[in-house]
Amino acid sequence: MIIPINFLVASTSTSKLPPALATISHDELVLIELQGNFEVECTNDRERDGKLVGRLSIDDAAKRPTLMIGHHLLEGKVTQLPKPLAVIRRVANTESDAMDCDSGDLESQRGETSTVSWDAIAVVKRKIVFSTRPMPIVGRPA
Amino acid sequence: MALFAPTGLLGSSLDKPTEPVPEAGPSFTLNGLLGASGSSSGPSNVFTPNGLLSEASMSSPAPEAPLGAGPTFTLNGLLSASQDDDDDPPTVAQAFGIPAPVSDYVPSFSVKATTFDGKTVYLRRKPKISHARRTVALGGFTERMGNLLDVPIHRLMEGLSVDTAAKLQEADREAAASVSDPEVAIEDTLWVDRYRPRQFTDLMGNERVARETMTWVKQWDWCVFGKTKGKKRPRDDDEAFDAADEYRRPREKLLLLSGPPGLGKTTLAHVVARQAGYEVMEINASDARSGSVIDDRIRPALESGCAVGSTKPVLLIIDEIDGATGAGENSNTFIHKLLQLTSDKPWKKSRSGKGRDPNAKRPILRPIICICNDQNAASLVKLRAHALQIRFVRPADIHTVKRLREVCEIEGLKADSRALTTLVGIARGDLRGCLNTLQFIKSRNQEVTETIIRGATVGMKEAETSLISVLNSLFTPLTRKRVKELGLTEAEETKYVGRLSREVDGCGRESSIAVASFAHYATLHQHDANFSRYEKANEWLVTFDLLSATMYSDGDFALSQYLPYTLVPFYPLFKERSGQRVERSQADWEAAVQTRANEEIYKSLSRCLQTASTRRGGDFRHLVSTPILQLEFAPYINRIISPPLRPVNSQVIKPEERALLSRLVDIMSTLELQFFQERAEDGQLTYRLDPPIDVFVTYDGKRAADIAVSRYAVRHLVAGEIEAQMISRKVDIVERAKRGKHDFFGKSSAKKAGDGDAFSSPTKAPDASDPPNKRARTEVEVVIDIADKPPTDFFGRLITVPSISTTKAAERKNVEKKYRVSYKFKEGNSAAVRKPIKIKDFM
Repeated sequence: MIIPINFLVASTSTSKLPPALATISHDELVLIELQGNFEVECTNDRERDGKLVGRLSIDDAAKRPTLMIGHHLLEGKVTQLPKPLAVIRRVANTESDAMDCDSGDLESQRGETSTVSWDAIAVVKRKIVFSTRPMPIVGRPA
Repeated sequence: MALFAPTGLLGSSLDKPTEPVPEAGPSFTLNGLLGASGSSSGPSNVFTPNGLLSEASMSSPAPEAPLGAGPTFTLNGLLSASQDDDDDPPTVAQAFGIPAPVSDYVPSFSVKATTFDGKTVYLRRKPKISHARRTVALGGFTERMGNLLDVPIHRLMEGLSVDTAAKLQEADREAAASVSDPEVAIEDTLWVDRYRPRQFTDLMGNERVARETMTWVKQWDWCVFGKTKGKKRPRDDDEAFDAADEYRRPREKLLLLSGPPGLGKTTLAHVVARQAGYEVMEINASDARSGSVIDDRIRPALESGCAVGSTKPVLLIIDEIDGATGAGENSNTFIHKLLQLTSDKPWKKSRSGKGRDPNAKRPILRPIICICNDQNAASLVKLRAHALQIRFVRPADIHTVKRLREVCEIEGLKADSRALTTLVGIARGDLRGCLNTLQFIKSRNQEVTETIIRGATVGMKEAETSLISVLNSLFTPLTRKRVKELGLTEAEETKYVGRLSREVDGCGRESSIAVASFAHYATLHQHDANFSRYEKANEWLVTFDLLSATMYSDGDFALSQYLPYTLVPFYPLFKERSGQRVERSQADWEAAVQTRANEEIYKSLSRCLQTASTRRGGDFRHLVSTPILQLEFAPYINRIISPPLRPVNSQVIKPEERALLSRLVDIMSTLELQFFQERAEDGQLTYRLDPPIDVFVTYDGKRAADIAVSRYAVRHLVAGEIEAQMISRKVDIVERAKRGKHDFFGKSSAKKAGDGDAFSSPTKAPDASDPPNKRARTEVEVVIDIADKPPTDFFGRLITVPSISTTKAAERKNVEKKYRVSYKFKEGNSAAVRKPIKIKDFM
């Protein structure tokens, strides 16, 4: 099975990440790997949408990324992924794409089989691994 | 020949054949005939048997044969032989046919007699009488013969002496034979054991010691045998019991017998124990010297109370306890364990009444007797405090000699008392040594004479070499008596090095001897113009110091054998026959003790100062440091606390004196100096300062001139005031503690201010005059203050805080209910299984 993926030209003009994380990258997506899981207490599932999970920051002194979740502080490290990962988005192929002959060819060939296409919106090359035991931090509001 | 049969009978009872002779009148003439050797025709018939008889006894008179003619010869033979075997005269009598003596004859060793009530009694005849009578008869005989004597008188005398010698020898042999038979059986026992006293009354000498020991053992009766047995009669010494002890044991649970060897300490202990009804368990501490023995052997025996298979209670005897371990501070030594054993507290009944704790140590309810030679041994230091000490001394020599003579008589050993006295003198009263020596002599079949005793005692153990005796022999030559006792010759007497060095070595306390010599030699007045003797002595002392210092610092103990020799030269340098006995100088020891006591006083004073300084915020802390305390504080505080006060009632005291008094009381109570009432030996009440810092201004019983002697009444006044102040302080503390936590700290700040005011200016007399009132006033103020203040918790924080925090907590709870993220870490290895997943599944 061949999946049609479009690689768009990455725009490097504006930084999308907050300045605290700019040392890692500007707009590059970075995977965050946690050894553990989140436990979310809430009355209903709707509630948790858009809520804060934790604060990711770069510890200046140690040059290491830290993650503060609740009253736990996690320390991690930045590593290269052995294989880069692509983030793709499904694009509904409802409108005609006649202008693009190549893709048109492809799609004309299987027009009947698939009507969706995929856009790679980012490539993940690095990840931040938090594998250590979290340190409890006392006296900070969660 | 029919007559000859009784002759044979007579001959068989050879002992005293002379009896019939004097009784038989007619035989006397015959005797005369015999002696005179008269050439009568009559006796021809007599002659034949005579000749026959003399032939039987011919062997001895034969050498005297050339004296005369035939008849005289036989007679002569008769005479001389008659001393050996006296069967001739009776034979002659028998030959004359006189039967009377035969019928009259009684067995010579006993005389039959009848008592008043008809009983037959045999009286023993004394054997000597016959001898005497015969010699008398013989003497009269020769005298009568006058010049008719054919044997010169000196020969007769010689013959007599030979005769007696032979007789004595025979008696000796008989005695030996009679003794030797039983001796074969019992020779394997020592005389010491054979003549060991078996009963209390057998004990010799030292009666006081024996009685004291018995008294102590008897004090255990109440504990060991129960109250009924020991209560025969109430004794005065009942107060010897420890009132606090529920078992009513004696106050000292141990008895320490000490004394030189061989005086019978162990024997005494055994005898007393047996007499008092105990089974003896003996442990020789020089063999079993470690502390584990106590746990392994002694404790089980004492706790069970009696030995295995015995109904009697056990009494423990620890012999040679100075050989046991115990000198160090180590808690595992024999002595330490023993003391622990005895000082174990009796069972405590648990409060709930659940019964007794099975793990608790059981108390020791049996007496323990310790025996040692040297009661001052280092290992016994701790023991001495807990033991009743009984010291053996050498009994008078007469008693020892008497006992020895008795033993010699029983053993058939001929000993003159002079030799025995010598023996006792050499042994210095050591009865055991004497007995062993005597047995040794006996085993070689010797007589006990002085020379033999000298020979036998050469290797005898030098019994007691105490420090004093060594010093005395270092500084005084041997006494004539001792020289005689030891039997030294002139040349031997002058040889001193070996003797003295052995003695010093035997004492084993070289450094003490050196110190004592150092103290003593300067007191001797020797005529010495250029002090060369003292110089030499100093040199030797330096040598000693050098050697011993090297020995102890470098651990080079090979030097120790040379140490005694460095002390010996004091003898040639300073020996003095008339010199006073060496008194052991106690000065250095006394000084050390005094120093230690005074240091203890300084220590307690500095403790007082420290507590005062903590209470007053470090006011006097600078006075505690070492030289300042001794030089600048202690002398002056003595002057400060003895102001001139009149001994009057505190109610009528003048205002200025009241100020003085209150100041004094203030100082003393701050420093915790107190007066304690005490009763002196003469029954008078005195007040003693505690800690007794007044010793520092008292020299030789005299006080420094500028310090007023504080009188009893004044001290009484001051003591009362101090006590009142102390009590008020204590009450204050209690009150403070009682007054809840909230106001305690709130008050303390205000209080501190008040206190500081009161103490920092103690000179202000009115201020300090009645501290309790002032204190009460401040308290009232403080209470008002507290009422105005917002409530605080224990640490002085406002108590509003908890309420805020509770609201916050409540809020937080609400939040938590809404949304909360937490992270749960998963540790360990991932046990995930890799499983290929198709992308299709995601889409």
